[in-house]
Amino acid sequence: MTLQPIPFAHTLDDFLQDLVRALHRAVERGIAAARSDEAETDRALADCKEMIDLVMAGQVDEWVGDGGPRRPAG
Amino acid sequence: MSFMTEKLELKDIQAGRADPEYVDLLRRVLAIQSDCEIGGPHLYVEKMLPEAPLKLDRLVVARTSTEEIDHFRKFAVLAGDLGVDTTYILQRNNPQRYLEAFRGTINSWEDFAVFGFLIDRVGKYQLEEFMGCSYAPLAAVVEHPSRVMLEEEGHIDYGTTRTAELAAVGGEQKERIQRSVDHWYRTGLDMFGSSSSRRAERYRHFGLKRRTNEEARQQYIAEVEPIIEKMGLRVPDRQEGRKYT
Repeated sequence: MTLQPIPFAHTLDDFLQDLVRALHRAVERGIAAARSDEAETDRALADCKEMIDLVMAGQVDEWVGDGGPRRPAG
Repeated sequence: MSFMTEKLELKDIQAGRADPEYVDLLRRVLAIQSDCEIGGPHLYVEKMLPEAPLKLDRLVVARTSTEEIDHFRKFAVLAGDLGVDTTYILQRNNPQRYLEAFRGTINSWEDFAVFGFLIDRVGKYQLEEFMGCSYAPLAAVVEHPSRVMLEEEGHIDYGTTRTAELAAVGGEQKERIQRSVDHWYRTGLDMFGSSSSRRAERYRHFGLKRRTNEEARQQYIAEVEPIIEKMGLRVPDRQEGRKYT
């Protein structure tokens, strides 16, 4: 059996890894501020939501650029 | 039955040194595991991220989602190396998920708590299957120094603690958490699959899984039921509403 690796798999991996790191930073920022700075916690939560929503939308072609998954015809 | 004990790397598969059935099963299990990892956040993040009781709880929802996205990433890149494009998994709607447990939505804090308590615990059993498995890159995702198992344990602990707290409130709150346990316990038992699954035996034959579906299910039952009882909740009927036995 011959296999063709998915050409953008590692670009996607890099994108998600960067996003996961940014999400962890936002969560930690929110937790650190939770007792003393409600506004900062709210900002951290808003940042988390924006990044998670991006992943949930699943627009892989926008994340990996040229060479990404083919859009359906039409 | 004989079991494969050889360890394979990606280069072995690329060089055609793996049985085609092995490669098919490996590609399938990587796609399903990727689907299960990203399927969790798709179930709960829309409602629970803004609506969890406390801001700290919302941050826990965000962290849990983050870790599941990271787990997805780790399985998806292995799938990609084997020619599986996981784009469809990132884009599909919940009703299209491989496993029934991920096909709905979680709209209540009770369901979120019990999902961690019971369904992430099934996830732990699934991930344990890959420890020491015949595909070395897959084993590496779940073995030390990977944090995947530790993170799953964290989700389970959080869900178990919240479920116990909600049960301890008593009254209507206890009834609500009981209903969530009733639903997710049966769903969890079904996640182990059919006891007579031929495919599950082939996974074991090729060293991609260790336990039979029924062995894993029985171990899960033995682990979970005493915890449910200790919470003061009723252990649901194991047969009622089940799809796979």
